[in-house]
Amino acid sequence: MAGCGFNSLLQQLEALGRKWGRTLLKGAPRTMIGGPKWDSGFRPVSLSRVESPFPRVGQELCAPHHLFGNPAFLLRVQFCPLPLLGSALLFSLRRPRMALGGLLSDWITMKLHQKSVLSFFRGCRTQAPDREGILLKKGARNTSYQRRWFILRGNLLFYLENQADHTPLGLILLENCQVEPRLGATEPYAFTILTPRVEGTGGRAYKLAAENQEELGAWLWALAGASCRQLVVLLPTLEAQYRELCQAAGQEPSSPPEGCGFLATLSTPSSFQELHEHFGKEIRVLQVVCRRPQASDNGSNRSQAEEEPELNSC
Amino acid sequence: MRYNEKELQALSRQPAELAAELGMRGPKKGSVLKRRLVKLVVNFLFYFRTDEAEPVGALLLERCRVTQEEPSGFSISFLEDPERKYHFACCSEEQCQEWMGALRRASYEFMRRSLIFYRNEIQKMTGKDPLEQFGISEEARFKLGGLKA
Repeated sequence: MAGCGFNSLLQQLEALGRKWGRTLLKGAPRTMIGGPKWDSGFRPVSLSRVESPFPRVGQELCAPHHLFGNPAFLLRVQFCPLPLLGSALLFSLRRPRMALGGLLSDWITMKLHQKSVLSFFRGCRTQAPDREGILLKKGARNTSYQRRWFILRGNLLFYLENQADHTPLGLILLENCQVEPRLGATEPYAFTILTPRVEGTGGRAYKLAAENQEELGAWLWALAGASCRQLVVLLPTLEAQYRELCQAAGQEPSSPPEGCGFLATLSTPSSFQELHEHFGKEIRVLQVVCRRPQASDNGSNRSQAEEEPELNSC
Repeated sequence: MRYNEKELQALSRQPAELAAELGMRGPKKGSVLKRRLVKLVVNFLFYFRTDEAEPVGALLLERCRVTQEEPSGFSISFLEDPERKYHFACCSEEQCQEWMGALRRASYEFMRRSLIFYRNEIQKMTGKDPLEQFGISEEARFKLGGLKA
């Protein structure tokens, strides 16, 4: 292992052009005084930027590496649990234990901007979702079923620990998913949401269960139609039909209202009449929504929230 | 909030409504404009480093505001936090308008509203529900008058 100093390692990573290699290089290598020194003169590196989500303590990130010109060697990076000394990554060389492909898929590669999702989640709280209610969810590690409050909006399925929580526990993206009842499960009224596979690894199967047959049926139906793609396919057909009818009737076709995005898309000031019409429509609709009796036992929180029509929803 | 990265990855590989290399700058102070491959898939905006196959990040395009930023650029901000803007630089005014239009139409909520609108209008003009032929006329999501803005 002579001649493979730390700088040479950094150069090798740089040459690979891997994303997280570049991330590591952003931090200036610093030696830890009195800290551990690994073979081959490798030293811990302080990270100045890591793509979130931040690696958990003890988590190992791996990368293919061509040290010694041998592509079989994998670099195992261990996140050092020494918060007082700053984040540190310790390098060590290990022999590969599994195929490159399998390891690569465990990388953290992408960041979902959670604020964009939470903004949507919270902004819609006072508006009726497509479906919501209690479902039992089997944990990923803890295999018992947990009671969760599920909220379906469009192609997003949120689940919360409690109905009134400000932040969801998790999110399931419902595009190209398969939703199927699961017979022979330990829980009755069980079903699975199977998410699409990525490159050889199977999709994730979310194991859920409804509280009764009716709920099961309603959820299966709601989830099956939840993808955006459906709308993408339907819309042009309807729009074309509408335009044809307008043409036949000698009528000028109008555009769908933009709703929440209405103000956002105004480039020139609208006439008062236009704004009055638009918001008037929305207020009338909200009045209908607020008078609607509660479908499920949502508790007092929701009925109170719906009592006050959101006049400033835009 | 937990989410499964693989679900997003799978989505990012779906056919895109629009994809182009644009300049992109994050909302944080002092962010630098970077070249990114930006890809619009249903109601998500993915962005990639130009030489990579996996996206760096994803934005959900619901309840967002798309504003023109001079010259030939635009920004995306979210209604609940209008000061935080993601900036994009296009290579022409044309491209800018194309993107702005597509982004505004990308949200599920916009599509749903449009569907309800057309359904309503067609029913008014023909007396028939156009969704019947698709077998989804009873879906709560497309209820007339139930404007889930």
